Amino acid sequence: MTPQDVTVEVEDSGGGVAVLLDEATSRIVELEARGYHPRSLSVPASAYERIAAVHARDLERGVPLIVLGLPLEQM
Amino acid sequence: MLTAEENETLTRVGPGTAMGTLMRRYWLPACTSADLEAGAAPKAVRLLGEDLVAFRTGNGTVGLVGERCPHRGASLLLARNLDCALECIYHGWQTAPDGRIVDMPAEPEDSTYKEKFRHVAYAVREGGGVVWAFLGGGDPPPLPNYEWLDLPDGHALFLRAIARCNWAQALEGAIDSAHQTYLHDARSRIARDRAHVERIAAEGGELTDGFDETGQVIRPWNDGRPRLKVENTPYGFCYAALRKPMIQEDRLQNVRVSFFVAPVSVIIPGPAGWAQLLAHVPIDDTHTMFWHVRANLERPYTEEEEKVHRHAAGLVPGVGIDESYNRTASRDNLWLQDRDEMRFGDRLSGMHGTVNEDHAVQESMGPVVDRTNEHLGTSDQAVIRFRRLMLDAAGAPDADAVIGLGPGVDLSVLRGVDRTVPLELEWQAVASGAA
Repeated sequence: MTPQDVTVEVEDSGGGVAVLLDEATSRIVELEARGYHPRSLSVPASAYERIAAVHARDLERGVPLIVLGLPLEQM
Repeated sequence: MLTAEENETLTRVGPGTAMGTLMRRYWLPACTSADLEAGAAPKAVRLLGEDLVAFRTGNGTVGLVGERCPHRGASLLLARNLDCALECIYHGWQTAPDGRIVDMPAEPEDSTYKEKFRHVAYAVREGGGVVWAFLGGGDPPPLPNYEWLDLPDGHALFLRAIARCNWAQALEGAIDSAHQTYLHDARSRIARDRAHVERIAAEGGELTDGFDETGQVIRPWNDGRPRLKVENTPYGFCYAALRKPMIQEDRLQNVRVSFFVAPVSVIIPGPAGWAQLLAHVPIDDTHTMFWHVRANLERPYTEEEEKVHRHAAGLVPGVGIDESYNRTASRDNLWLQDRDEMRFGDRLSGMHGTVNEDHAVQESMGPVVDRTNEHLGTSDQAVIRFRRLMLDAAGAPDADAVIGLGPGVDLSVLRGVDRTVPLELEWQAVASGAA
């Protein structure tokens, strides 16, 4: 990890995956524009579970949860 | 990526669905004014899953009514078109453009039956050569005031083609700037643009955009990783793809600005002096009428310009498309993809025409793409924003929250931009035409 490597944190506004993804994209783009390198995406457990449910087939195949190119983590 | 439930909400447009209810709050293009000759045969129009007929009565009034005669359900496509109404050929029931039943000649002479109900009829208005339909209840909003709406006849050229897929996946193609460098690339385009850049480099001048003989912009970039900028607006959102030019990248960037106008339209850059709009009008959940409006703001378009435009789109009548807007290319013939063309020819997709290329990939996803299986990247930012906005609007409890319908929405000032500009210039200044 370099000082420029960051975890992107996105709060759960309860607005569904469409909202979560939009918030995360905006945050990633903003950080990249400021010279940071997003390395992972961190969301509250409630949001993590929603995304895990959508990508259940990936998880069954042993594929890690990757969202917008970043590993997904629970806050 | 969406949940299965979000995907259902986004894509289903029939009566009673959330998105269908939202769509019924806007004017949608139904057909062109030229399609409807006074007193001539009615035209079939399927919109938002409803089968309708559009017609212009003998006295010139345009109507859009349910296809089935309210009496026994015979198709009004077969009806006689009278001065003031359509007359069903089965028993002579006459339906006026506003849905009133004005005659039931087989019923008793003193019957008041015809005054007791109305047939399905929707509000229509003509503007810019388009017949616009409002399938909702209550008072319709003003027509969308695109800058080409008040042009005289002959300025706006309309290409139409049916995409055999859901409206949202068709529209997502139009707001996805990144695919341009991949799906639509051609060896001749790359060679032409490189020659333009090399000439400028050799002469030592400032890099500028160029225009080919059809007025299309010659792009001095070959950057497949555009940086996207998306900004919400009262009508939807404005977005820009910023790309590095092939030379002088320390001083310049290319800015391509487009506008998503809810619910189904995208204003894209056009050649100098032309306005361009793409609309993706749901026929039903699995078919979309794609409209490409190209309007010359100063003079009528020429026959030659129409030919060039149709050829570039792959929509030459009788070759690429039939009179009912069905494209020759389909899944059954693998969209006429030519592997030799891919290896040795011009189009890297192996297909002819930009619309065919777009519809091929969109149709190849299936009639309604399963968005739970996607793996989006940040280059999909405009697509992601579109979904959020439309889902928010479909779930909005009050009309004021619905995008594009509030007071002060002025679409006449919007025109797509594709320009190479100094790096320090803000993209919003380019978008607003201020720079």
